[in-house]
Amino acid sequence: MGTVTSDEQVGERALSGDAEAFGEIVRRWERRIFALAYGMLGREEDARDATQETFLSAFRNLRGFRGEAKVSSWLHRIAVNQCITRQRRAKVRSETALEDEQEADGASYSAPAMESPARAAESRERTAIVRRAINALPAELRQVVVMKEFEELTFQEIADALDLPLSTVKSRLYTALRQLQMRLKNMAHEVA
Amino acid sequence: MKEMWDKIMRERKEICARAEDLIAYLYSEASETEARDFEKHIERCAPCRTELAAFGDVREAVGEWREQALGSIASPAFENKDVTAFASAQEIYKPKRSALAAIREFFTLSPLWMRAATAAIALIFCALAFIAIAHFKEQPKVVVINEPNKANPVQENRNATVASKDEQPNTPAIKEPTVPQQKVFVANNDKAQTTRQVKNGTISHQQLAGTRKPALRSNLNASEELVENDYLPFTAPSHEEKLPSLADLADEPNQ
Repeated sequence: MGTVTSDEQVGERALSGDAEAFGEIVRRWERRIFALAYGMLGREEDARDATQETFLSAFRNLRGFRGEAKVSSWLHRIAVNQCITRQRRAKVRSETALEDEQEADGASYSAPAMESPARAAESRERTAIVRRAINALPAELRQVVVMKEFEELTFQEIADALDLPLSTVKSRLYTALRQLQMRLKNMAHEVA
Repeated sequence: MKEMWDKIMRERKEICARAEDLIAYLYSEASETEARDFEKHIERCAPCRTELAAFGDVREAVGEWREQALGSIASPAFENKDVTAFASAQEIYKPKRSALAAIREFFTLSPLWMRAATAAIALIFCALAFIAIAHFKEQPKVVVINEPNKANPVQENRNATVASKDEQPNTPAIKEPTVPQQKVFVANNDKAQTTRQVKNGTISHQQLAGTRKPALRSNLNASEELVENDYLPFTAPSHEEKLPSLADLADEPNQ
């Protein structure tokens, strides 16, 4: 039976040139980084690309990994930067996720078999509204919400990853939830 | 945008200053003591109570989207591929970018303020470079040789010229160029400056003609002139002229 190694131990091994250890980091964090990217970018394809870029960037810059930082914080920081870069690029090219969101919503969501078509449609509509509301948040607020809601990171982990004070993380999350609440209310009224 | 966030927080603090406690409680990150304290607080604080319920609904909606979105996506990015092999392949097949492409990408991806700052710095740099080049071009390379202790033959010539001009009755007083008192050598490549000097009368046409000659010739003439006027302190001794040349020595039989 193999011994369970911590992220930091795996990180140290990867840092010393153990390629297998880096593979282990990818296996451990791939899903969470993908969730973060998906929450930030809102499109599966973009999220997949951003996740790949994140790990490639991490692999190339292994030397930049500071031993005192957590592997998770390091990876999240890279992932957030990747997502922000992709968003800027998409903005420049006028290829925002919002343009394709109707299509993406329909494609990515398949209703459970026991759910009635009417209920599935209602659920789809509701999630589309949430998605639009999150996409409309400024990047600084969106990243905090996604890190909290999609990845379930603690405030401290978010603060470490984004290099922010703890109180700033909390106030950003509060502001983001307030804006989401208002947007969801307005969008629901528009739909009705 | 930042002002808007600050405004939201300010307004919230005016109602109740415990927004951060509310967030910690909402996400179950408050300690037991803090949680108990906040529960007591919301019993008597209606805004916090209302907001807690509203934020709970928001979280539920976001959670529903997350479940639907991530639940339907089966495969992660690498699909259990060997990441190091993948990375190597990426490195190998990664096309090399040109400098122009790199600059273009920098301008595409950078925020507006950074682009503006870079453009401004580039403009300032170009302007400074232009000014510097113009400044160095305009500086005339003037060699002034003046021997105060010795009678200056040019001065004598000038006096003679002035005297002869004085003899002409209607000739106005000569606008004396300041330069002819001295030997002036202007660099050949500085035509603009030389033209200006001619227009201003600070350099004579004879001197200008001298400057238009090829450099070697100009230098030879200048040297000869200096020697003639006994300006050069060190000249070849006259007995050197009497020394036999190498050709003469070669013709002579060995003794």
